[in-house]
Amino acid sequence: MAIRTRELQLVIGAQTGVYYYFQNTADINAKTIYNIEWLFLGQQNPATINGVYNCLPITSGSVQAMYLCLRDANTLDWRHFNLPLTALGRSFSGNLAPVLPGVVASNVKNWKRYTGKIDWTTSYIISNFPPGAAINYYITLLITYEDGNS
Amino acid sequence: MLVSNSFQQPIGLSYTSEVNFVSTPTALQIVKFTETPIFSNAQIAQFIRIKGIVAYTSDAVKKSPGGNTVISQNGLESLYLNIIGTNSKSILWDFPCISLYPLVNGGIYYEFDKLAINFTACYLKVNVDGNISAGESAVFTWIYEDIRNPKK
Repeated sequence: MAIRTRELQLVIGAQTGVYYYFQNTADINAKTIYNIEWLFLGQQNPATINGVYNCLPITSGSVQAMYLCLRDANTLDWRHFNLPLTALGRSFSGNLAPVLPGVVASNVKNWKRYTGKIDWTTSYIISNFPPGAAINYYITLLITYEDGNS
Repeated sequence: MLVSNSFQQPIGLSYTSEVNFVSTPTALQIVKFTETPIFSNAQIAQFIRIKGIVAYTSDAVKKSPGGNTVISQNGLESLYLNIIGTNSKSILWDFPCISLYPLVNGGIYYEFDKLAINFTACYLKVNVDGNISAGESAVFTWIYEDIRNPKK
């Protein structure tokens, strides 16, 4: 077993009240998650995410209207329903140190860890406020998980 | 009842709900949780234990899960939370909602010792006029455990 992290990115368009599903999650699907953190990346150059061109990292203001809905990998029941993405941000958690591979247990004092085995294919983010009308934006989550392949 | 929050436990299950103020509330008004989260279903609620509660303001979330404007910090300071147990007795009586807001608590959230609650009997009480407008919502995340599968 090994503790690994990876970024998971999702493109959010201008539509509100719709579900934005995750893609390319086979490597973390149904694996034990130790933490999910939303990364504030500032305004960097446009990137290509899941085949969508010219995406900008989402701002901290826009993320305040987005909610994460995660299903349990075994039952498909809701594990975390309408969890505000804000709750996954560093500032909301007291500007604490990040969770890093191999130091999960000792480095998460006070850190609000969101755990469990997630079915990422049926999990989604709902956006209740347009991040921007003219361009796609993307959200970056840092996933800390247990990998059976060491 | 309140347990130490110097070390926060991992959050295995959570549910975010909102209370929408259809009209402008006035002091001493009581507003119940009208939304129907999974644990207002009696068949499920008997297995649910509340381990923590997080409140938000418009500084943290701009729109509620239902798309409504979220109350300000002044609004959250104007609310008390009342939690009623499954035995119909009060567990939290006029608990200041602002204490449930991590951004005023150094990032931590309040943890509770596995409360068995009657969710549909719980309510908010307004303590002052003027800080909450019609149409705004108070948003809470309930951190809980399903005792049928406590390690989940």
